[in-house]
Amino acid sequence: MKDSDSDVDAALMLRVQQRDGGAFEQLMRKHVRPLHSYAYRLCQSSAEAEEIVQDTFLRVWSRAKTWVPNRVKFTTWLYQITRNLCIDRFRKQYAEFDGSIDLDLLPDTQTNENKELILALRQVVQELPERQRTALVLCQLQGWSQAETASLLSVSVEAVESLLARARRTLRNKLTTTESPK
Amino acid sequence: MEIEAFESYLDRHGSDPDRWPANDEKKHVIQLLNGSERARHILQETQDLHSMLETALHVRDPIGLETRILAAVRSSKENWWTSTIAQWILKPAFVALPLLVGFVIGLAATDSSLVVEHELATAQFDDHSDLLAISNE
Repeated sequence: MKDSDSDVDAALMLRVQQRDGGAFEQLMRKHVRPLHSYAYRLCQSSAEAEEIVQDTFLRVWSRAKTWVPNRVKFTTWLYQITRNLCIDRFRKQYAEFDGSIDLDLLPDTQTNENKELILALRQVVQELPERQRTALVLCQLQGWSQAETASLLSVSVEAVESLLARARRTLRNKLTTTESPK
Repeated sequence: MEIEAFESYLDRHGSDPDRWPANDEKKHVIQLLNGSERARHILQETQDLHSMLETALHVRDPIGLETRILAAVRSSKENWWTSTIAQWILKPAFVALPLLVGFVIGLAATDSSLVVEHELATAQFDDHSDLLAISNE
């Protein structure tokens, strides 16, 4: 993310802290889609992702005063809220999780062979440890740098590198195993 | 650089050369890619896998989510409209109030000076008419 983007967010967030509804709406419209992508990729359910994003923005409004400018970027704070909400939901639903994923959202254009691979990929991502999954989603799919991801996870850049390496290795190895019998 | 080290590099930094950190390690990777058919094949496979991952976790835009968020925030405990009204109407009113008071005071001062000027002019006219009356006599 560019610094100027971050400055715009900070200015809007300061206005949100003064209970400016217009600034909140601007901030929400700017971030809602990438945040929804992030939530969906973490939990792989569109209904869950929408609820999580809605709860995230409710917290942005109700707990705006807890964001401290210059301590952490607004985006890091925002994605941290979403990540915590996802973790809470995983904890609550872990016992009930049956391993199924949202099949309706598979792209229509895929061949059957690709669909199998896509399902396998989603299954592998879903089974990754939470921090590896978060690092993979942010760096591989959301375009975040390792430094930004390190800030969100409160770890060093080297630790993010290691999380990414383990996640990508798992993907590669599991998919090789999946494809090899063919 | 060996192939195993190259695979480890791809695991750490991904398969998009534009996002590889600019350092000596990248130079070694580029050298390997220029000279090794196998390395290029591995890179291509990894890029295909990562591209498939993007397809697998493709996200459709949520319909009406923005509207639902605004509705949820507006109906939250801390009333949205109260805050918005406070922000856009009451706050400017508080700023405008001292200006208005100053304006009224200024206007009142201007009016009283006009009265004084009027009284002086009337007095001068009276003096002048008195003189005229004396000269006529």
